[in-house]
Amino acid sequence: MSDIAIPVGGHGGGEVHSHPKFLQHHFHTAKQQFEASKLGMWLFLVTEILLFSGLFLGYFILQSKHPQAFIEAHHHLDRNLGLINTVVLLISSFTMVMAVQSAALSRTKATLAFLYTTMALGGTFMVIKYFEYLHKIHEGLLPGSLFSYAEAKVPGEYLFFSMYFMMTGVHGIHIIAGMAVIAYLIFRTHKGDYSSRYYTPVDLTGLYWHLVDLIWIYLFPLLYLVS
Amino acid sequence: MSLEKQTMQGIPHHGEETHTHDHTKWYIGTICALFVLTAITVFAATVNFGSNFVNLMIAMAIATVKASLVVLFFMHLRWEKGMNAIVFLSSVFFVAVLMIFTFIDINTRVKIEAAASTEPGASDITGPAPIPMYVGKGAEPVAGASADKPTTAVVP
Repeated sequence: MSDIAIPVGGHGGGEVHSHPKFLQHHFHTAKQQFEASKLGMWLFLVTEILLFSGLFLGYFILQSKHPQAFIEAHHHLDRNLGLINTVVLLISSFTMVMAVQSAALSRTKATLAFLYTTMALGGTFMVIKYFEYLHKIHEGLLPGSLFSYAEAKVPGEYLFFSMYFMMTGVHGIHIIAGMAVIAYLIFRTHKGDYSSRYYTPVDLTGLYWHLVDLIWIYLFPLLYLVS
Repeated sequence: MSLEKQTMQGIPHHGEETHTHDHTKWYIGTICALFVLTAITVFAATVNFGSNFVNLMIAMAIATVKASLVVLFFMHLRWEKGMNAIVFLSSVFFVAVLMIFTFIDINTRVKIEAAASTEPGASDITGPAPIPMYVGKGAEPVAGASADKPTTAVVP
């Protein structure tokens, strides 16, 4: 274990006591540090929610102005693939929360297994997304001025694809970023850095991953199930 | 490990461990509920509840129930003290303000445009431009599709 206590003087009225490596100097206890990190993560998640809310607002405005175009355009999306991706992300959220719990209970092997599964599910999501994108690029179902689908029936279908690519694109970037962070967590877990004493990075990554899942929960009905 | 335990005992201040309970049952319950709600979402999309708007609202309501489950259980807000919940709910509040006020604007604008166009001397006020089938370069390869429509109109 790398966090073997080192003696540090000067705390709490001159007492000399040990100080875990992960505990930063300006925090009194590990618990306090953990709570502060968590609050910071929630503040970051708030900015993420506000970022996506702008996209959702854009979607709602265009959808209310051009309902027929949105209904017609969404038929080009494969509902089954959207459903599969929803299930994949929901399961990945479950495995992520299990990874956090395993880390909190010092079950390193389980933590690793759940982290690998979460990353694999994130990868599955992106592969399915890739094939969906490929199909749309092939058909010319693209945003704005790139839209060149030859059999467009309703004016303004390109608006739907502008929203589709922007929303799923920004969401996809978040998935990739999450996978990169999970890869880092796997690396650190292999080193044995996380245990019940210190697993803050796993916990915070979990919060982020759930938020990305939460965004998809709204994206799925909006993009795939317009009726 | 024994060294670590000894160290733990030697740290009265820094050694406070948060007691982690096994929540596996809660998590399994949550994921099952999420699957059921996903099925309901897909089913609800095949039913016509009267209007596009009502269907959209129903889909958003189900999504919000799902999101609440994720936030409460997967993101642990159920087991946590208030501050994180306050931070999170503040963002929900501001998103609601953003949505509601924009919709008040958007949905009343049409009436004003209509009223303005019937007033005498309002001939210079035109309604929203008709939306084209294609814009930009995408318009060119499709011959005849937009002969009478502007190909580079600005979308409202």
